[in-house]
Amino acid sequence: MSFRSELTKGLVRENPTFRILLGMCPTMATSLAISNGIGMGIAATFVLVGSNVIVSMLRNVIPSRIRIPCYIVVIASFVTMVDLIMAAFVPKLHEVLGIFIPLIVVNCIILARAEAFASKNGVLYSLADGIGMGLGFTLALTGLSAIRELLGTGTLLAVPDFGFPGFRIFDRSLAAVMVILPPGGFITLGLLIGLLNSLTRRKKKAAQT
Amino acid sequence: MRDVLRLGFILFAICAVAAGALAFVNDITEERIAAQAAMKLEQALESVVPGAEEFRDETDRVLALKAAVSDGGRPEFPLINRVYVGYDNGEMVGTAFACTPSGYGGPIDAVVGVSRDGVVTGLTVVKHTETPGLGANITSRDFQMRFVGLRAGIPVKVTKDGGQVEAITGATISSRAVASAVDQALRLFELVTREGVW
Repeated sequence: MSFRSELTKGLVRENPTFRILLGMCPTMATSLAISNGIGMGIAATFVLVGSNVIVSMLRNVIPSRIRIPCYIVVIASFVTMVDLIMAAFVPKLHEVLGIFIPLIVVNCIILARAEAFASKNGVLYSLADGIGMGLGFTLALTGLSAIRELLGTGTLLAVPDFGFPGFRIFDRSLAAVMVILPPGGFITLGLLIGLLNSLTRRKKKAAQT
Repeated sequence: MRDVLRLGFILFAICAVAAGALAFVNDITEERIAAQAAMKLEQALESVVPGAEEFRDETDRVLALKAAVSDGGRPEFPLINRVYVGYDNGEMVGTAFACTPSGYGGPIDAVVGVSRDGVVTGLTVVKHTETPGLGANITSRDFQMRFVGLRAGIPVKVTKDGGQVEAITGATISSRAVASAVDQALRLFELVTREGVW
């Protein structure tokens, strides 16, 4: 176990979205446009790092029988504080990321990392785990949303909060609306997971022979 | 028994610390957030009633006029929070209605501007918690422009409910909420005009 491997494991090897299949609800809801994917990813990463560090610091204080309510209190308080501080001091950023904050509370990646990692490991490793998992989530969301935005609306990089319509790749009438609705989201996610699995399997086979 | 007390006390202590920290953060941010909300409202009012230089809060006058509850016992205009009248050099140019319809993810704070002759001049969403990428598109100009130009006298509804406004794909509930706010603003406008408040 090293700081670096904890940092990088979330990117591909133990990617929370493609490998552990955590946080499907916010994944489906926010992977509609690249700007949304990145926004949700950044907000979640921030909360994940904070909650991982706090839970790791308190890991010897919290009795195991009541750990879940304790984690939930810590995470919910942290999310609320981030929400208030952002609204007061960086209102422009809050306007863009603010709508993701209620979704973070129900993001089970945060609770899962508190339970599976931060409660058993030191602060430094938990910090690395939080950053890595957060970036992996951001990466997965960005990839998924790029495909859904392109096929579902025909544009790329649209940022409605800034009034930027994005780059139109093909006409709207050719776009498959189903891709931005939940069924299309699950199909896209399934195909991406399958692709990733077949790539790693091939790699493993090549390593064996 | 003692174990239960011990666990209860630890959970209580953690909650107390969390509550204290939240109270502290709320205390230092409350004023700034309120100031920013006031500034945002000002900007919203200016954007929905073009040409107005000054706004006066006329909610009390409107409230004095309308009956608080209808015959059925329900509030008459439950979605309308405040009414602001926009003036330019002392002359009234339009009315802005601050409404809070319920969307898919919670209340939506919207401001609807109506000109003197009862035409929607603008619509803007100040605050909302709709799903990003779907309902959150109520903030897009493309969607808001669908309401501009609608007239008082015709109920505002989304096409799914037999109305004239096309809903956002995959976000009928959010679209319907905004449509109901515009509808109530126009109906209140009609009532106020008929009663000759201004």
